[in-house]
Amino acid sequence: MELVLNLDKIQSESVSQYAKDILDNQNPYKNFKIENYKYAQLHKEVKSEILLRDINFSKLLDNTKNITSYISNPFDLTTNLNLWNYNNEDSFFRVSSLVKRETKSVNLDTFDDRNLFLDISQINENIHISKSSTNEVNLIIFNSKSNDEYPKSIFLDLSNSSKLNVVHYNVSNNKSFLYFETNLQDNSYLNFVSFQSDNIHTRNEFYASLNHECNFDLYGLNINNYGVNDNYSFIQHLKPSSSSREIFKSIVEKGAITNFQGKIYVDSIAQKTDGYQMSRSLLLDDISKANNKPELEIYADDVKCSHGSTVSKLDDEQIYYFKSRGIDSEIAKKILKKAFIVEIIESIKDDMLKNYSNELIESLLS
Amino acid sequence: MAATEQTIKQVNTLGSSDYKYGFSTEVDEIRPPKGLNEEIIKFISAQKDEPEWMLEWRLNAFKVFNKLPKPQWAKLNIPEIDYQDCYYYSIPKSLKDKPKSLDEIDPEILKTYEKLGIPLKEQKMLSGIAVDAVFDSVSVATTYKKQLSDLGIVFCSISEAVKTHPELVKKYLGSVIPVSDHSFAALNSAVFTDGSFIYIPEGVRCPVELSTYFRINAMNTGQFERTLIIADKDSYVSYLEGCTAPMRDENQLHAANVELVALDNAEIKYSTVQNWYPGDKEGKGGIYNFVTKRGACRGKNSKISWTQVETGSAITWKYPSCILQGDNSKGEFYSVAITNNMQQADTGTKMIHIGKNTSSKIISKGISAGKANNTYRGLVNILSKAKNARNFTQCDSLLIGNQCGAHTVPYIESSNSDSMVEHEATTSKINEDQLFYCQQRGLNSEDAVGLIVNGFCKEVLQHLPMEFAVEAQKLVAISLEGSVG
Amino acid sequence: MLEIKNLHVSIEEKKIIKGLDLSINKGEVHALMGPNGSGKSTLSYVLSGKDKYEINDGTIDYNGKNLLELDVDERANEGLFLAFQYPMEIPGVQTSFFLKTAINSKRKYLGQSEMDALEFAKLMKSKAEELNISTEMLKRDLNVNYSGGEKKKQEILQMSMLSPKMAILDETDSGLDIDALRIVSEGVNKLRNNDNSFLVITHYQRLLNYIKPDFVHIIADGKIVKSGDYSLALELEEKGYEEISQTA
Ligand SMILES: Nc1ncnc2c1ncn2[C@@H]1O[C@H](COP(=O)(O)OP(=O)(O)OP(=O)(O)O)[C@@H](O)[C@H]1O
Ligand SMILES: [Mg+2]
Repeated sequence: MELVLNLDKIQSESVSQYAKDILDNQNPYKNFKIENYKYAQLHKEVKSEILLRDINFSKLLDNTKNITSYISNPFDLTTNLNLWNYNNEDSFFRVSSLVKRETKSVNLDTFDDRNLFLDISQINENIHISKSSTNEVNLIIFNSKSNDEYPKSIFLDLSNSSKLNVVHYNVSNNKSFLYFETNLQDNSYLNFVSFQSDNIHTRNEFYASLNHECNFDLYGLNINNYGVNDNYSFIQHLKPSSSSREIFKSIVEKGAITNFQGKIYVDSIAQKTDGYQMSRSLLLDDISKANNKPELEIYADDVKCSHGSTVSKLDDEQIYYFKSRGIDSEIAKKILKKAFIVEIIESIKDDMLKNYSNELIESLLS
Repeated sequence: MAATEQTIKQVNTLGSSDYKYGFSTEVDEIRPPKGLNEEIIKFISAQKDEPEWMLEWRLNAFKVFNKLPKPQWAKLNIPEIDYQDCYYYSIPKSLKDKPKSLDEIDPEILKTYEKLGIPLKEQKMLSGIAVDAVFDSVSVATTYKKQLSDLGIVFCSISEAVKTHPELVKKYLGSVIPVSDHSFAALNSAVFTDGSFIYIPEGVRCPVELSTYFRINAMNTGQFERTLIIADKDSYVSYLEGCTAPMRDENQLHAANVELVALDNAEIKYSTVQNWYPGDKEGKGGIYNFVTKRGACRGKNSKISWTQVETGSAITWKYPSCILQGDNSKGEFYSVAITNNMQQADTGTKMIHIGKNTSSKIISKGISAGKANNTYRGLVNILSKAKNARNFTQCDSLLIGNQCGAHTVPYIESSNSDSMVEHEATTSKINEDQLFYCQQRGLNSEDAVGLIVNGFCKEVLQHLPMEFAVEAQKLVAISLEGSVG
Repeated sequence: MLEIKNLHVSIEEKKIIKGLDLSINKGEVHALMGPNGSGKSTLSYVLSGKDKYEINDGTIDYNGKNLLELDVDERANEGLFLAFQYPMEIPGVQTSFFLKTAINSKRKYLGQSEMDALEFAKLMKSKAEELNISTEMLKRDLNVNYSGGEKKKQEILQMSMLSPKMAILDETDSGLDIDALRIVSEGVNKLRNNDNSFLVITHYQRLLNYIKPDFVHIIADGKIVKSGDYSLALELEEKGYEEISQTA
């Protein structure tokens, strides 16, 4: 039952056609949902004339421990994955990550530093990250100037009561695909903030399994992208009393297409789940496109789940208010754009990273 | 928690025997053999004395049907349907030669409608509502015909309209739902039996509610309703439909196509209370309700408003939609969908914004109980020319018990920067505090649940015409009996 | 300062202001009173330059300039200030940041350099103290979750920091408690001098006890139906709009 999946193949075909082919070939992964790729355009050609800028991340390196070279130990992902409880959906990216690829691992407990830096731009193997200590650690995942044909794949295991904050900078890529999967064990906590900017063609998939009383916050920001930017998330609450909070914001202009698909899944035993999801897009011109597909799939009754989604332009009334105070509309718009996304920056736990992100955003907005 | 548990128990003691429309009527029926083929289609067409073009249209639709796969998008578990194991046409013998007056109608049939609360006799006719009663494949009677025709309003069965107003039927039939839309639409186009036809002339406000009452009586019979409503410039009409069917162990198919066309400044209000037999507690029997409803706001300032209360059927697959073509046109969708026991529903709407300043509003309330699954699925699509388009969507789901599922799947697509789309959804369980409060004031738990759920649905129910709203409220409470968890 | 002649305004084809004349000189305070829906806020929006209002007829001269030709922010930078009846909430924008941006926009317009951060902080602090606004408040997002009265005070803070030449206060008094009313009025009086003017829209004579107007105008159905001095406000309080308008 060896499956060879290759993103090259779908350069010229639509994803759903390709997915159908896989299904017809008796995909061992049941319930493969073509719906998950409803808006995906993985085969999209990358426009080459756009010059992507270099992102200065030396400041990040100065203040953090670079653990990129520590990713080394071989890891048997496939046997371990059975523990991960993915009972219902499988991703195309997951399949292509698992097939014929080595997995290397790193254990965050081996470092004393509070801020760790991991550059995945050059890594082609699957990465398995684990953490079991209870101290709070900030992990920076950095990806820039890549032109991936295969998804980068990160599998994160957080053991009991472990805490981790991740800031993911996915910036200035011609083409980048990310598959991120995490298993949060009882009482663990993960805060994940993902910056997507200056990319031409990206797709990110975030999968999370939540056990007893764990907590997952996922924030995404999507600005200044040129081509297609897809974000897909699937958060499954498998055990009682866990909570998730997901906020995605996109500013879409200059012919870009932004797609967000996200699902909160609540198993029938996962009572007292608290799930929240918000996806908001600012659509600033008529040659661009914003598609949102937020989903709830709920099988337990004693839960609190909600999602919201908006697509709109900047508020004329607010711009008028700025102007009535003498602020010209260009500045007003810039401030309002910043106001729209500031919630995402604020969600970063570490002050140094918050400041860095703020500067990055400021430079992108001007 | 205790209160809920008690309710569940209480409810479980009630069986689906409570489906109060579950009786059947003993009448002799004319039926061609089971099966779906060109011969049957020719038979249906011949029975109805249809003109040649209508038969051609049907046969073409049948060809299309054979080529189309079953739609896959819904989150439903639809058993393989054997289209050959079903009757496609069934009419009471006594209706073969259309009765000229109510006196000629089989008293058994009249009694059926009376039992359903829809008297057809002049002296008892519902005031303010003109009714077209459809029994299996044929329209039984239409009330208030004279009064309406004085205003130039055409309200008759679609079979009659094919003969009396061929130009309108030719122009509009299939113009909103193309035959090739999906396989159920094609199937309906091939074998549709009866349904209503309404034409409101320019400048006329229809003074009464127009209504159709659908009744499936015969065994193993599919009902293929086809309704076409055209509101000419500056006109207004409000239309209601109700549906029931006897309790039978095998599943029956109801695949309807409903098309609405609103021209400049016209308004159509379409309300449905769907209470087909849902099957028993174990999921045996019940109607498969595969309905395609779509309205085109062709003219400027036109408006189409859908209100639905879906409580019946084993499977509901239904997305009443609006194509907002005319500038300033408006679409609305108000829905209550209740699933209990083994029922499944995948319902919602599509709002396609094409014209400028178009607006749409979607309010959906889903209630899931027993082992049922209830999905809201809806598309809001703002095309790039739809300057200043607005949409607001609110979807709330209520779960009663932990063996059911509630799902929300909105699709939001926008290509116009001057537009605004807002979607909100929540899922929760029935509020224990409210339940306790009601019980403390002396309501038994079942009534309390009925009350709270009605409150939850109020925003939708209040859009129903008065006469229906009261019925619908009772229905909401009844549907949850034996399922409230 | 401000000269409105025969102003006719409509919105979405509905006529709201129907031939309004009003002239305000330097150093004067005018009060504008009138029943709900008579067009007071509409007038203030038109003066500030909000779009969607159609000017069907009339002229507005502001310090020798044709006001109607200026954009909203130009008017503001020329010293026209509107304290809104319903101030806007702007989530994500800190109040202090907003104030700083506004001040620097004006300085830029006047060809001055940006105010330095320390100077600004001092200015904001002292003005806020005068109005009894806590510095905590200034760290919050602009008007978001402010109470009705707090929003009104915020408008006056902005006014005092921008020191306008022509300020229009649209029902700034409604929603203020007794102490706040006094504080806000004091703030206005402090700003008052021979070079600037005020147009105070209100329903209550009480405010005019604090801010003594030189003239009082009564507007009904889009026109000024009666003008007078402070005593007109007292008379109005006594008789109500109905009777006053009839005697006009
Ligand atoms: N966008 C609009 N479309 C239609 N009518 C409007 C619009 N805005 C204002 N109006 C109408 O214009 C009239 C004047 O409104 P305005 O707000 O100027 O009254 P006002 O004198 O300030 O009243 P109040 O004392 O209640 O504040 C009202 O009848 C109002 O309903
Ligand atoms: Mg006002």
